[in-house]
Amino acid sequence: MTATLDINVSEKEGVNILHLNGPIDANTQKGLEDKADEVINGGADRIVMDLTEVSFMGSAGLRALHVIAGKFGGDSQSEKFAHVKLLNPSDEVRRVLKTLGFDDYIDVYDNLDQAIGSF
Amino acid sequence: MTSINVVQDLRQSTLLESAPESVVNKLAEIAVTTYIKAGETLFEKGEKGNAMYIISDGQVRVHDGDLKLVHLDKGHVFGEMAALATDEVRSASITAVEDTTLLRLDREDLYGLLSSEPGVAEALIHVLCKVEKDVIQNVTQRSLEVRAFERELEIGRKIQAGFLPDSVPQVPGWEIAVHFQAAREVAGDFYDVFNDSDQRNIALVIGDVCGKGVGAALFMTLFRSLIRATLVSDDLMNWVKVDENNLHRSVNKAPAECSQTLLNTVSVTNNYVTHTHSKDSMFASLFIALLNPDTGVLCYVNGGHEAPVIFNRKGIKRRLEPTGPVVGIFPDASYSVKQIQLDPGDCLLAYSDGVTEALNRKSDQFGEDRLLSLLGQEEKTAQAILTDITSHLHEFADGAAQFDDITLLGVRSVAQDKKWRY
Repeated sequence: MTATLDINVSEKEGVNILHLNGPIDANTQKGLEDKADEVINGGADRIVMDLTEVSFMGSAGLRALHVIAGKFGGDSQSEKFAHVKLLNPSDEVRRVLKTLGFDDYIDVYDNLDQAIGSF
Repeated sequence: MTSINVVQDLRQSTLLESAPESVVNKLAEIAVTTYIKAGETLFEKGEKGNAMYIISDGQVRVHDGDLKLVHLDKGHVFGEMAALATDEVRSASITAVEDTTLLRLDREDLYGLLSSEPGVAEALIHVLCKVEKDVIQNVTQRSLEVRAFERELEIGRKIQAGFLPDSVPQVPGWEIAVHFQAAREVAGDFYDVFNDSDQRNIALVIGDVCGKGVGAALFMTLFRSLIRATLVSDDLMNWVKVDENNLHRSVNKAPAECSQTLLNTVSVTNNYVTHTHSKDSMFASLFIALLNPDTGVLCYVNGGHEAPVIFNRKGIKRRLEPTGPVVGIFPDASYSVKQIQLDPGDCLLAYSDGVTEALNRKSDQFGEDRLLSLLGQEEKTAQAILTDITSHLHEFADGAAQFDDITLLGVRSVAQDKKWRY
């Protein structure tokens, strides 16, 4: 039985927060991209991904992040990633972000208000 | 609803499209008009039923919980199976999409008619045959889809296998072993081991393209080819750095030249993929090294790959941590080259995340700690080290499916008395 990724969207101070519960892997990443599409087409220009309940995030998940950031246009990586922030990843997810080198490009926060304030 | 409309609606339904007038009229007599509002569920899957329905006007959704199966509108018939057989339950749920008018035919009344009107039985058989034909069509469709999927997996595997080396160079004083195991739904692991153009250094490459299937396999071929081509051609360029009178090649490529070759290779690969394929967001983690078999100096670049391990029988000596990010999506990425000396008895183990992320039936991960605990306990050949790891993996997985490619690359220095030449 494959685990599913549940996604709930909330909004605070004009920022859309995607609360993710479950693994972000090759099976679930399309669902995440589709939900992000929906939110961005609805006008969101600032997104926080709440990774508190994310059990696993491998290279497929990081690719999904890059795809989502890419939807915001912008020529440079810092421009694209300025629209997406990460909240409260587990130690293991942090390790993956560091190994693959994403930590130089995308901001990570432990606290939602800090994440929102950083835009 | 007047009875004339009922006759018309029945006549236009799929149930009675070829039935005689008398049958239509008889059914009109027993048909009961009912209404359901948009959003209302008429019946749920699993309930007992004793009526079939014809849609006079409106639209319903046939569904199984959240899974929508089909929409039906004017003239369509549903519920015939549970209505006709006494021990059948509803095979799906029906919910109105818009305000809908239905003609209901109750089992009791239908059965009553069957004995007096053989035409009614014919009409019902006609409908049931159509249902069966649709089911067969669906099953055929599914089978074709499964076959197409299996074919795609096979193509992915063939592409991948075609780009992996047939054999690994044998180098005196060194053991080099590789283990590669593709996942069923092939992922994007690749490895390469080859002599550089002047046969003085061994190139060691291990990489992992994100994603699965034919897409990942195709990007794997791109990365693998770019890396080999750039590394070999960069090497060839070094032949030409000579004095004007004598054309000769450097006897041992100095570490500085190895470093430059590695940096050029990674930069060219990164630049090409980021600029040509930026829309795909495809990347690969990459560990690429040049080993001088005479000196034991290993120069390497690690682009976002799981840190290879240097160890000997005394334990783990060093981890070769990333010196830059994954390759292919960050155009401004910078990479650095590092060096390490492999002494006699030292081993290098490089692996893909399919090893550490392998799952057992309880969805536990094999994990890095478990892998590291297998290293450096005793003297083993490179091949024996890999075999040990794979047998532990196999035991751990205990029959659980393999979701990601597994790649292991082992290199061991077995030199005894060596004269190091610098």
